[in-house]
Amino acid sequence: MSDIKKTKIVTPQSLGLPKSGEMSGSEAIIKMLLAHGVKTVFGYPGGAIMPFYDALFDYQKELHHVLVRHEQGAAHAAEGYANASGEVGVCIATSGPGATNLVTGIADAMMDSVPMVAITGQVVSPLLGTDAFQETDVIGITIPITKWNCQMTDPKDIPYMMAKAFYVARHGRPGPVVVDITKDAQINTFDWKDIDFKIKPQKHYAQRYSDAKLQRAADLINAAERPLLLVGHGVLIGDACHETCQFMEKGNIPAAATYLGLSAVPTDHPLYMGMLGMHGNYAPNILTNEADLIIGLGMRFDDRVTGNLKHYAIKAKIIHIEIDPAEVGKIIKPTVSLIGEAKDVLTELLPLLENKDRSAWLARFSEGKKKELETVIESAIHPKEGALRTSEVINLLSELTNHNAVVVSDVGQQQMMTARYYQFKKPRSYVGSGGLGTMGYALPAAIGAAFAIKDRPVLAIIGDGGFQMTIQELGTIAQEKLSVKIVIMNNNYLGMVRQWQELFFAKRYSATPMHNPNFVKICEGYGIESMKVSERSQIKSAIEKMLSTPGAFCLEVAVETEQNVWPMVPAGASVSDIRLK
Amino acid sequence: MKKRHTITVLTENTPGVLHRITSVFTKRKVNIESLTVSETEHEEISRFTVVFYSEPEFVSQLVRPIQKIVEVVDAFASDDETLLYKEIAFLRVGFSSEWERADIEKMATKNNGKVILANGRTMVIEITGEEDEVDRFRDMLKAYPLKTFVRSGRIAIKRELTEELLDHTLDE
Ligand SMILES: Cc1ncc(C[n+]2csc(CCOP(=O)(O)OP(=O)(O)O)c2C)c(N)n1
Ligand SMILES: [Mg+2]
Repeated sequence: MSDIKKTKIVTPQSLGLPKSGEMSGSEAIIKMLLAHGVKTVFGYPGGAIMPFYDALFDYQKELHHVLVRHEQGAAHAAEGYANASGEVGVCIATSGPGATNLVTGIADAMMDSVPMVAITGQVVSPLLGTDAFQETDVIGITIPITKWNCQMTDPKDIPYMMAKAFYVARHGRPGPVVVDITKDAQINTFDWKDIDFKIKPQKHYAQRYSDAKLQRAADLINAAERPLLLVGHGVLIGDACHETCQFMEKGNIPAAATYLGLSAVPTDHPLYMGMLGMHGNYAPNILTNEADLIIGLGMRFDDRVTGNLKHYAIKAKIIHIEIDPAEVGKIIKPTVSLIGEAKDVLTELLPLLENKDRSAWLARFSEGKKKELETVIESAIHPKEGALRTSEVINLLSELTNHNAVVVSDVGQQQMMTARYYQFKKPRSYVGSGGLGTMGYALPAAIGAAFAIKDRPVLAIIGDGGFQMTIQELGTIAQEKLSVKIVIMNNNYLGMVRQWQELFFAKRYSATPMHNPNFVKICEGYGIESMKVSERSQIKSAIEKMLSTPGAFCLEVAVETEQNVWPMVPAGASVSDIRLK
Repeated sequence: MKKRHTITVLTENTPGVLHRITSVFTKRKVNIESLTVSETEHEEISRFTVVFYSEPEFVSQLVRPIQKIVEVVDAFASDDETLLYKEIAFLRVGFSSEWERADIEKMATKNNGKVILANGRTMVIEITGEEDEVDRFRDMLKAYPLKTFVRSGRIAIKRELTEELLDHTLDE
């Protein structure tokens, strides 16, 4: 697998494709998937993709197809697989409604730079554009939400287009690719002897800065009294976690992670100061406006991280290390930018870095940490009375899994609590929907993660609202006999929206209370063991039971209905106006 | 202040690229003033010339996402000062007497225009020039009924031979 990733030029030979012989388009799709190391795909059949499914019947040993219960689930499962493994996730759908059901997952992958290849069936080519049965303009629909897409009407285009799809999806800043294949292209045949292509790196994948610029960045870092490193998703994607820690340690530079950068640096690293952003930690937010240098590493200064831009990093020079030139200067104008892979840039920067004592600056973080611990964290994870709190359950889950699970969370309060209170030890331990904030992500993404991760527990933490958006994927978990541990944080509210209503809309709880079904019975209906807890005295044993039960398990926790996530940077406020209550 | 800018895009000649390029403008809510697509000296490469108004600082926000498009070989922005540029326009103008006809013809010739067709009580004038020249000529003919007005998009070429690959000037 890793060889394929490193290969700079892709040809039929480098992929080990057949040299000759007649083959149908459908079978060629499968050959191309196998040539790219794909072992698991997530999909749902239908008319326009049936020839492919028919060919798949002969390859069940080599290529495992996971039948999801809704195509959105296939897309999120592919994302979960990609995020947990670093490999390309593959999803498959039929034309029309099948393809449009993928759209949310594709958009999510685009936002979060997730390498994905989505294969969609299409009506036969003579009917293209005639509003044929189940025809939609998939190319048109997905242009704004894909890194690249293409349509194939001729089977002999399939090898090249599929190779290019994988290449584009995983190289540079990764992203989703849609390949739309007409039914006749799946059925018709071609001869491999007519296949030849050469895919070369695109120019903008290359590193683009001079030595002088690198030195300027190093000078800025060495001169800084109060630097702060912002660790983004790019560090995980670019496999630069080790170099990032070296960088922090050599310069005594404190670091904070973006939401998608979680787990790139171990939570207990002495220089790790927590998460940035709206519900991030107190110290890194407030000290963003004290820092004299901000180093953005593989991140894009998202508005959830920066808060009000007019009052962001007010005393700081900015170094932006980023693979995607389009992100540089988009939100923040850097003093120096270094375009390249995080790993390469850090490797070049490290020797230029001076070891510097920054203990006074680091002490400010300790102060902030202490303040947050006393005012927020202590009561969040060790409450003495009242109903169970989401935060304490997450904290307990972290302890009882030895901080070693791959954690997938949905969207809402339970997501922010997970991000805040689960302790991460290893890279790629956290899987979540960042830029798009897609409710319904977690259950299918956990399915994908469970196919990527076999030696650690996969924990899905989901709200009562989000669970019901993709609840049907319980069927997939049951059919695949997957060992996913599901925790439903049931507050009987669309909690995060309710929190905003409480704080900013005079407690007018418009359309946020939820009347929920009996989740335990639903799980039982699917044949998934399940239980519900509401007492503090029972939560530990319930989690232990979940973890020790082989296979899937769903634990519903009745949590405090109106707990809020603190701290919070209110929308439109400066990061240094972060509220502790 | 908003200024007129040109983005030139060199791309592989495949369907869908136009949609990708315009979608960058749509996403940023920038209106395209004119757009020309044509072949180039390289058989498999197409040239898009896109003209729009924008704050100068904002132009890179459009160029860079365009550069990222997989099929795009190169994309760069230029100010009018660094370009040679022209467009072509056809004006179908009505007249009601021989004297008027002669007057129009005289105006056309004086302004590098050419009468390329005359039938009945209308004639078609072709004019080539910078957008402002075409606008001025159209204004000059105000006295006569303008039946049809067609203008091409801009074609542009850099004054200097520096069709460099991707700009390196990303920071201040
Ligand atoms: C698909 C989708 N629809 C709507 C939203 C807006 N939204 C964000 S959080 C949230 C509430 C989530 O409620 P729940 O799943 O119960 O989680 P909780 O916040 O209560 O933990 C909503 C509606 C969203 N993010 N995604
Ligand atoms: Mg809820």
